[in-house]
Amino acid sequence: MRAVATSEQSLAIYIASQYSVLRTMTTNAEARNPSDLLPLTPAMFHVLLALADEERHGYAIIKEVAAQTSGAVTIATGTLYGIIKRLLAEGLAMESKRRRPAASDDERRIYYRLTPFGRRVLAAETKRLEAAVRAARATRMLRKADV
Amino acid sequence: MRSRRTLGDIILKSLLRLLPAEFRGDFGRAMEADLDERRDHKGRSGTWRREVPALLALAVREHASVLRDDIRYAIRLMARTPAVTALAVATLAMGTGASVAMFTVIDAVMLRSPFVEPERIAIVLVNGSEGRITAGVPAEQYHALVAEPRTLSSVAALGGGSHLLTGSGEPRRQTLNV
Repeated sequence: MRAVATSEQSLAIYIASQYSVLRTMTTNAEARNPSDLLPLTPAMFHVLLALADEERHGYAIIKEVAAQTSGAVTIATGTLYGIIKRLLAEGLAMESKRRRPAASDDERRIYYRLTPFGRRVLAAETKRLEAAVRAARATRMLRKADV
Repeated sequence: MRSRRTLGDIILKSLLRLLPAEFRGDFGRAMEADLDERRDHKGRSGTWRREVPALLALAVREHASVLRDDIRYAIRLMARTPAVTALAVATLAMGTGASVAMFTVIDAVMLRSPFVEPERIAIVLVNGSEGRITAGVPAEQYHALVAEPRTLSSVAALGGGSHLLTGSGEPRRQTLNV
């Protein structure tokens, strides 16, 4: 006799398949070496940094990057969403379902947060930059300039 | 409070339509919200100067990315079904070959002139009786053209028609093409 799946069974199969995909993505991200993605572009580094403390939507990321760099780095909306697409594809960031109260929110916004792998990449890039700054400060020319 | 939408805002948002549909589906509305918010905080001039080049660059990058993905997908699909791929390639090759062969023949027979420099060839026409322009050049005018080498480097005449040939024996009607 041919078995016919009920709607509940179909839903369970669908959820299980989606969970399996998510778990595979997470496992792949966990298994990856953060240094494979280094060096990050400056804009990508600043976007990751803007997401380090809290989840933010697009324009909040732009404002946070400007604030962190005292206005030295300004990211355009077009540039930002190119970076966000790459962060999502590489498993460094993900969409967050948490939202602000409706009165202070725009329903078109999408909030993003770092994944654990994204944090590891950010930490690895920060270490790389620290090492680069140490090496630069150790040079004679920069010692004379007293930076 | 939100400022009123201007023509510039409408143009800026219409630039979002240059992005691939999938990208717009994922981020289009969020980008619109960000552009609105940035305009409200920064003013219009700053928004235009930064956003227009960035949106154009993003559109080019994303379309290139879509094209790259499509090419990769096509190659994978072709590798999975080599027999169908071979048949398609052979069909295309035969079609292209037949078209080229046909055009080569038509070009040689119908389009290309048999003369080396066809642009230097001219047909001499004269005003005939009753003001009609005709190619029937009288013999004296033909000889004048031959005797005047500065105008034409060489002259040839083409004649024909049905003529009565007399002389020795019975007269005979002869059709000439000279």
